[in-house]
Amino acid sequence: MNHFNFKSLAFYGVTIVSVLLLFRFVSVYGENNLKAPPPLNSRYRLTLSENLPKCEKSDTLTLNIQQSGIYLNASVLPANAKADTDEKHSLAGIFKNRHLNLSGKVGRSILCNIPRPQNDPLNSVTIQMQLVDKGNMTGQLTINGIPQTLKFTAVPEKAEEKSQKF
Amino acid sequence: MHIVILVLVEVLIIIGLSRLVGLGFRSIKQPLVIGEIVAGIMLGPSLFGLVAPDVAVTLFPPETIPFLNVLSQVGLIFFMFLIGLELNPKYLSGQLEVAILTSHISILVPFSLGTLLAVILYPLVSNASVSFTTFALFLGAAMSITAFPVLARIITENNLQGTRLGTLALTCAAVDDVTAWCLLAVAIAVARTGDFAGAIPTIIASIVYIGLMLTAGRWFLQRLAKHYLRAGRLSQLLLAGIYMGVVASALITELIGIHLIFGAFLLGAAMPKNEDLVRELAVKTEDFVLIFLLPIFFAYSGLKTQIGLLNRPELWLLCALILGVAIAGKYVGTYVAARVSGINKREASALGWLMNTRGLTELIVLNIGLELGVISPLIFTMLVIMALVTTFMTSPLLEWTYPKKLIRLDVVEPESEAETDINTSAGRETYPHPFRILVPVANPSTQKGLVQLAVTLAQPAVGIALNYRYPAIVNPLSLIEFEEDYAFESTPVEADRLIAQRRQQLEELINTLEPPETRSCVHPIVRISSNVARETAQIATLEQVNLILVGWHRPAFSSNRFGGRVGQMLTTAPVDVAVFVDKGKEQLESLLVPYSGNIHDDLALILALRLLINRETCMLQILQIVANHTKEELSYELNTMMEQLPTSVRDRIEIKIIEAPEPVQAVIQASESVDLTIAGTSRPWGIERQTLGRYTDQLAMQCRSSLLITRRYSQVTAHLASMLPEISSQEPTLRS
Repeated sequence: MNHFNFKSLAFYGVTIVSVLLLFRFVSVYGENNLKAPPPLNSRYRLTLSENLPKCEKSDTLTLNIQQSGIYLNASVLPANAKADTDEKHSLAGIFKNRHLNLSGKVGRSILCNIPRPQNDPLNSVTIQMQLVDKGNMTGQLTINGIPQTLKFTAVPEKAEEKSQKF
Repeated sequence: MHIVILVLVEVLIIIGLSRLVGLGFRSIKQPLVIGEIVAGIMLGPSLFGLVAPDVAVTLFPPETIPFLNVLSQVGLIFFMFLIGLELNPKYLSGQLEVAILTSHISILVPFSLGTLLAVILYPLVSNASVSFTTFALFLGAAMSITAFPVLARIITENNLQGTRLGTLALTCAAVDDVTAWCLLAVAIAVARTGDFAGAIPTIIASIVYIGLMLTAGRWFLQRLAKHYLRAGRLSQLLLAGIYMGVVASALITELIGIHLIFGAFLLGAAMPKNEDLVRELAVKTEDFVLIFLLPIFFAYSGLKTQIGLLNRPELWLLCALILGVAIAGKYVGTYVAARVSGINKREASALGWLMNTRGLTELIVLNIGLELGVISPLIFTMLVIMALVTTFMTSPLLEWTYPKKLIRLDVVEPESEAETDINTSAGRETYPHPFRILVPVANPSTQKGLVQLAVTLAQPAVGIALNYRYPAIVNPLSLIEFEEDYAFESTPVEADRLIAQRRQQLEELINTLEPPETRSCVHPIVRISSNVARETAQIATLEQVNLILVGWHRPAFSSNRFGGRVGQMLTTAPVDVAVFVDKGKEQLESLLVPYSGNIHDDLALILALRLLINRETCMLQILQIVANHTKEELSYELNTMMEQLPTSVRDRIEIKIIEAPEPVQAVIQASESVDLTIAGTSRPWGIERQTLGRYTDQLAMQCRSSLLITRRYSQVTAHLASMLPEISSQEPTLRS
């Protein structure tokens, strides 16, 4: 058989070995020099230091985060929302140097923790967070139209058992 | 709502939508499977969840997703078994040396580029819980995928399976497929254990299991095949055993630490490739898997595809970069390797595009990656887009680099081509082109009359000496149309078998034609086609056919006589068409041409004259019907032509002019005493060119003899020129 002669085998050997060497080189380089952002929890409980103005009660909120590297998509939910609620992510942002920046729109009913009315006015919000030890975060919430910034702490919630895995 | 009911409603929606979108994609000449993948994406957050988020959450609540996952995994296992089953060593027979080189390079180049791409992507779209090595390995594997099953269908659909390009692409894809699965197995092992060193036991265990399957497993399966051959059929017990084997093998590979799908694939690949066993097994398994389970996999995958995640311009740029690297890696790798192996530019380029087909194999790989957490939802979406685009572009790019008209009609018998070549090259000045009749034959066993008529039209009987004769060729055309484009029957090996079978039937038909001398001018064409009418018209144009002679049977359920394929051919074919309604008369000796003097009638008359010249015993009656007392005569041109006919022919023509208020009735009456009535599609005879009006079929229904309906396309085809040179100058101007 022609294709098993020495020349072809040598060619295949050389190409395969060089690709493996390239892979080896790139992976060593990557492991040592490239740093991907640390994994974030998918669910945080936000405890606000003070009540939202114009709200009667708004002590805690839930922040759902879907992380794809440095790109984040998130949604703010009432604190008692079910763990697997599939809410559309309304906030988008970037995670860089242990610092999160999220902005988007959140319904007023969620922020105030009241039942959702027919016409839920949307507030533009900006969330800035800083990763501190043990995955906890501190940050501030800015709501468009409200001058003061609200400080909060975010504690990761235990990820509930993932249903996809077999 | 009860969860089972909800899941069943979901399945209903999934299957319905995937069929609908699939058919939509088929109509734009794309594989059905792309449509099904798109349907899955439409059901997810990318479209349904975007336009109606509340309805989407109600219909696809998170608690039903695990059930869809179970169904999709079952579907995947059996689908992988089918892929393995389809992998036939026959595909490895053609040009192995070129194929091995090409497939090697076409994996190594995109793999290397994928590894390099990981350097850019890893800090952006991955997180620290995934090691760089795993990420790079996985991205490399995702880039080097070629979807064998989708490619095989594209090749069959384009009738490439017999050509050099087709066999080469299939061999490359088969080698690629196996290599890519091995690569993926390694990537999964590394992903699960974290590094190469940890993956080594898994890799060793996998190799041992593969070895076992290919030796002991194969030995056992061969005994099973022997049992099948003795029994002659696949019993339910045997099938149960095989299905248990599939699931058990899947479980073993999962336990080893690679993935469920590998075990199923391996068992399929290890199955002895006994033609009948494989076909019966595939046919029994595929319908439920492909119709019911696979769309669920697509929907499950679509639910996780969130195109909305690409919400920044830079992310679309990254997506374009991934797409560019994927396409360039496969294309350049394949092209260069093929050129080095001595393949010409056009074929190398076509091969490059073909190998870019990633289709649902890529989707399988991506879902595994997402499930293992190796890739993030964002890069999953980007790679799904890449898989869709690379598959979608294959057919149009193939057509662009390697147009159908350049693909040799290599299913035409080689001798016929050689003969045509000799004829045309030897006497180019005297014979510009042979007289060619294309005869679409749907069922060789019932359409002998049609082919016999074509032969009589084409060739003079023995003993008739004509001083001037064109070569004439009759091409019975048998197009095999697949109902499903993703069934086992549309795999290249199976398509070849069907073509050979149909060719055999046609040969048998040809061998019954009389007189035997004429059989040499009959050259069948057998091809796969997705649209019979369109393909017929295309072949007619490519082969420079003079006449399409098509048979017509009364449709069983439709009142529209000339609707369906015959109607489509009549409207679309850019050549003269004659429709033969066979009333079963063996001899066609006495002919009747009702003549009202339009171009279609001229064709009718010309064909009648051909028959007259070719058969010395033929008699022709030309019937002219006048509505009132004005006595019409044959047109000047026709008269001139008649005068030029040899006396021996002219003596057998009788011109009858009668007066009748209803021409159709008069013809029907006259047809009683003849064997064949030849009529143009003109208004007086009730047959319009479109043949869809309300007068359309009176003649076809009531005519007492066999009927040949003619529709002239071009006014300058010289049907008689091949027999009577002196007429050729008049014929085109027969009627203006």
